[in-house]
Amino acid sequence: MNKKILLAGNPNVGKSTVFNALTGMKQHTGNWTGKTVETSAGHFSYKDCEFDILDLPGIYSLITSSRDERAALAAIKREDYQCIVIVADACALRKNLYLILQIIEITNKAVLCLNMAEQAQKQMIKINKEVLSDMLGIPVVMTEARKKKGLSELKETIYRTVTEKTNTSPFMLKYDDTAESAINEIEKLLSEKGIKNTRGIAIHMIENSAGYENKAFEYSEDLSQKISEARIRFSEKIYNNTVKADKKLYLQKRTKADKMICSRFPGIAIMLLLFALVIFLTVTGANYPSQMLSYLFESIGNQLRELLNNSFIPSWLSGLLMDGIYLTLTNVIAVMLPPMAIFFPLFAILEDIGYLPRAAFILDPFFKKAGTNGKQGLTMMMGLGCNSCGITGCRIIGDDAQRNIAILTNNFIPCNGRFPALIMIVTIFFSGTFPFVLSSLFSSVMLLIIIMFSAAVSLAVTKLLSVTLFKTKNSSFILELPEYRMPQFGKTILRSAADKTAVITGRAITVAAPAGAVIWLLTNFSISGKPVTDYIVDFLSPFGAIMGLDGVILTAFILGFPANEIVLPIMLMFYTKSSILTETGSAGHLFNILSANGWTVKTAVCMLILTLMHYPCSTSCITVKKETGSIKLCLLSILIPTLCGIICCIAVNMLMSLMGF
Amino acid sequence: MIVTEKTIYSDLSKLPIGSNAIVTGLPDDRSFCRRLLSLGLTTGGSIVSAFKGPFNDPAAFLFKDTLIALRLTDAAKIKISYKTEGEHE
Repeated sequence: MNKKILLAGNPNVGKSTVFNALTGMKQHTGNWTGKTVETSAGHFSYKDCEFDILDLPGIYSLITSSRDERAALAAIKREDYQCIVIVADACALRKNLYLILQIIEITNKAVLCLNMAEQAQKQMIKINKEVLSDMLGIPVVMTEARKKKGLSELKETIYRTVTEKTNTSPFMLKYDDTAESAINEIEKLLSEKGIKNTRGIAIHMIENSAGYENKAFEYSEDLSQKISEARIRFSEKIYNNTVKADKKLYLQKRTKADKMICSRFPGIAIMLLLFALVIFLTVTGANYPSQMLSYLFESIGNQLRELLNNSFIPSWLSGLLMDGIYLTLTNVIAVMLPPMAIFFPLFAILEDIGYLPRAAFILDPFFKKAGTNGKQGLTMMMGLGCNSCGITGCRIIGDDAQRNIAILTNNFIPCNGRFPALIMIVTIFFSGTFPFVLSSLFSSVMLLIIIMFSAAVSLAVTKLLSVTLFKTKNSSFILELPEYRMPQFGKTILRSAADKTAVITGRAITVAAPAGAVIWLLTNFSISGKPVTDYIVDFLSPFGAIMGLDGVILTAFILGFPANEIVLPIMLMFYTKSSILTETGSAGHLFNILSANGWTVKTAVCMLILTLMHYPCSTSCITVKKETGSIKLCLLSILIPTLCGIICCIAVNMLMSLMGF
Repeated sequence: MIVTEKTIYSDLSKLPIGSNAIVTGLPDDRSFCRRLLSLGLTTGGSIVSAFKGPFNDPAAFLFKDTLIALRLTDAAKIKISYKTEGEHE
């Protein structure tokens, strides 16, 4: 029989690091609350035991007001585990004690893992392990999971707790008479139902009376608050008896740093500069590798074509394989991979340091006006890397209505896959003849302006949604500003880059490959002498015209539903009357192709608008469905940006025509 | 020169930066109140106004070594008392 272990604790304590260290899995961790919402399961062996371990989301208390708390509470109430490992931050034990006490009131088959013990030492924090263990009634282990220290002691302690009969005296905090009589009442009812940890669960039910529908358990809010406060008083007592820390100096330093980082000047400038730097590094850094990959894939492709030509495989099949699937696949990888491999590690470093909550802090007023909160700013930044990641990132937004709005508006922010198209249009039509050396800087600046514009649009739609479809009741917003941490550059960068590489390659194969096949078939399969795609282009022509575009552009967007990266190559394929996806080539060359096909400045502007405002790519759509569990929201996520895009294009087209473009 | 100490009863949104206050009342809003409790903020607990955002909202508050950001409209729901010194001739 495998032993089941639960891993619980506050957010930001390194719980996932402990989990990874115990199980050897490589889960991504981040320095702020709300990163882990799904429960992860892992496994490890020790001595003669097999342990299944479940990593619960980080929570501050078992009182259920958020998804995380509900999930964690449900797991703990199931009572089917043999041990619960509570991970706490040795540098922040004061805060962690609240949850620790709540948990050990419910079960004493627990082990306290004081993580970040080394960092605590550096901060001159002294913790008396023995007294702490005595007062809590459970074993205490010190670890520094990042450096893999204390883990064998942890495993040994878990092993002993699980295999030996309870030798630790159960922890019990006595409350005042009114509370105790209420607790006894409930305990009687619970034991009738066969529940074991009656006292702990009874206390919790009173404290969380809103979480239970049954009228029999309706206790006054007053009693609930009394219990919480008694627990806090006791945790202060424990803290004062076991921890010697002089945080004054550290807190002074940190407040000084925060005052500068969150100030009007230079705070806002720092944020904008960091943001600009990330974009600049992503755009310029990705150029060379992208070209290299294209080149590499091309040579491999040529070899493969040779092979296929000399084989018995019919030419239509080799056409489908090479010109359809292989070409699309490699195109997507070459365009998608390098920028993401730069953007996400940079973002992960900011996350690790603890800067991101400060950015949310600075941005909050804008989002408050739009009806949501500063965390949406962060999800928008994630969306710059990949909209699918931005949508998943919306988990950090506690309020459901606000979260849905953030999900639905994320696609207004252009992802890495749309950068090349945006840069290309801007470079060709608005930069004139810039020497290449400058154009990289120019592209980044223009891209930043475009991103600002898309953020403004996103905010406007957010505001609209918050007063119509998703009335946000302006719930209270609490943002924790965690300690600044030295990021583990090597591990963070490498792990992030490796993660993304795997995700992207996987996505390219599952999405782009079949898409490439379909596009090739439509282009090369003719009805009455005309390829199917021609019919589509002709059909869409009138619609394109109203929008200031043409049938080819619209067809390219539709066929580009699987991944934004292929919209441009498809468009060029049609323009050059080629039957295969076409490379971008030089700026001048591109300008000629586009002008030859009727492009004007007006077309360029409308193309920009449509690129920013259209339905999410297939991966993002699926992600919306996964994150919200609602098909209705998935359809809205498609409808809202598309509708905005169509309306804006038509409007701009009319406006510019009037102005004489 | 007489130095007098005055106790001001107000709410958290009006606490001057750098001042130390005692919480005298938690918000009526249940879920907000609970989240504050779970972070360790109670009646009788001390809280410091650390700094304000660039647009004066939200503001950051420090209690029990925890730094949290609150919007002023939410901070206004927390009742506090703090002491100021004044000098008179």
